[in-house]
Amino acid sequence: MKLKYTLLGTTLLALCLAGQASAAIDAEAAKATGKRNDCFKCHAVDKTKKGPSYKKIAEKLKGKPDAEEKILKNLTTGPKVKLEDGTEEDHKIIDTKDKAEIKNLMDWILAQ
Amino acid sequence: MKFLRQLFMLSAAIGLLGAGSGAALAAEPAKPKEAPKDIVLKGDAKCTTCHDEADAPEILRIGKTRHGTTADKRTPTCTSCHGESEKHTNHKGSDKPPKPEITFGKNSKNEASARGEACLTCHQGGKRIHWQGGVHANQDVTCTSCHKIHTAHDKVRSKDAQAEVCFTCHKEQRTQISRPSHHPIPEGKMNCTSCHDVHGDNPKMMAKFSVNDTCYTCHMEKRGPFVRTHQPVQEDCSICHNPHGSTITPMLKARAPFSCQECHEPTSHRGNVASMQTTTASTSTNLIARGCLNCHTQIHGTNNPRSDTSERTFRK
Repeated sequence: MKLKYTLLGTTLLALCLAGQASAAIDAEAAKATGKRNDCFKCHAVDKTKKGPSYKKIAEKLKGKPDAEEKILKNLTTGPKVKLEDGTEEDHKIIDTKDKAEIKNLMDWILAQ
Repeated sequence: MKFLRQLFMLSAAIGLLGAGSGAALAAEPAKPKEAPKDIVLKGDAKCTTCHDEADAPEILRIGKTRHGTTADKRTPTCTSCHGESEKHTNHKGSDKPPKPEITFGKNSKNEASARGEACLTCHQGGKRIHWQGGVHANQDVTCTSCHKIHTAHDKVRSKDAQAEVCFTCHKEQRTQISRPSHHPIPEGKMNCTSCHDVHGDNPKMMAKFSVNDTCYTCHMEKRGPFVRTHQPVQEDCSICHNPHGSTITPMLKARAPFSCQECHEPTSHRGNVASMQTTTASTSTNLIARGCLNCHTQIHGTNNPRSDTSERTFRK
């Protein structure tokens, strides 16, 4: 009986935490940041444009410990990236240094 | 031994089969990359590869306008108005690409005539035949200063919202229209283009040849012909009236007697002092409350054949 309650409590706690985690992402703000930085000119949520879709990026990186680090590198250092047509181009560097804003954008990308 | 031989044969056969299918897979040609498809207009893929619903859904709304009727061969595509813009489309790099050849926003670097050219390719003619000579064009107003091309609801073409677009620049008229005596524009029964031809070239941009002809469209009882005419009425209604609105009914520029006395003997009434404190009783009656219009009711013109002393009485 005691074990049952413990399990139930843990499940509820886990659900709450998961809910909090998803609520922490401000999707509108992330989209606004993306729009301001012309991200959507090359990326779409679920469509391959010049760059891979955010869904594809999330699938590739989800669960990996260095996921955020990889996205951050692309956003802040502007490395050479391979486009879908095979050519290479410098990735655009985000126009903000606000860590919270960048984190929100990265979390939104990974949540796709 | 026989079993071993059978096993060997079987594994060889499987191996061959596997190799064969592997070779077949290797020989299969890679699928050619699909060319980008148009989203709204014919040939728009050049632009919508980047500017799609993820980037700029507002520009795709052109599909809901008449400019989006792809069945009509005259329907333009993005480059018809914005130019081929090769530098913009071929730009590589992380910095902002150069602007398209022709842009229409507030910060456009293109000259007004260049911005209008794309529209006039099709829309020159009819009411817009004299656009280039008009007041608007000469003040560098372009089609897109008033019209929204990418939206189905072009405010300036809607009866309810048109005045708001015009009032963006014509602020004096915005104030006048909210005065007590006004044409029913705020009520939605008229709009600016009821009287004005904004694409034309006559000085006041009237819908008809002159101010009076425009007014007579509705106020036909003022047109005449009359036996006795009032000269300013024949000349220009706006000598006495402010058609956009006034605090004096009916849209008068000045109250009687001041309006009348701008022309008619400012200090007298037919030779007498324009005041109630007169010696003759008859003149006093004429000037009660200084209401010229109490007696001169037909100031727009009269057909009354009776004329006591002169022809300017305009009385019934």
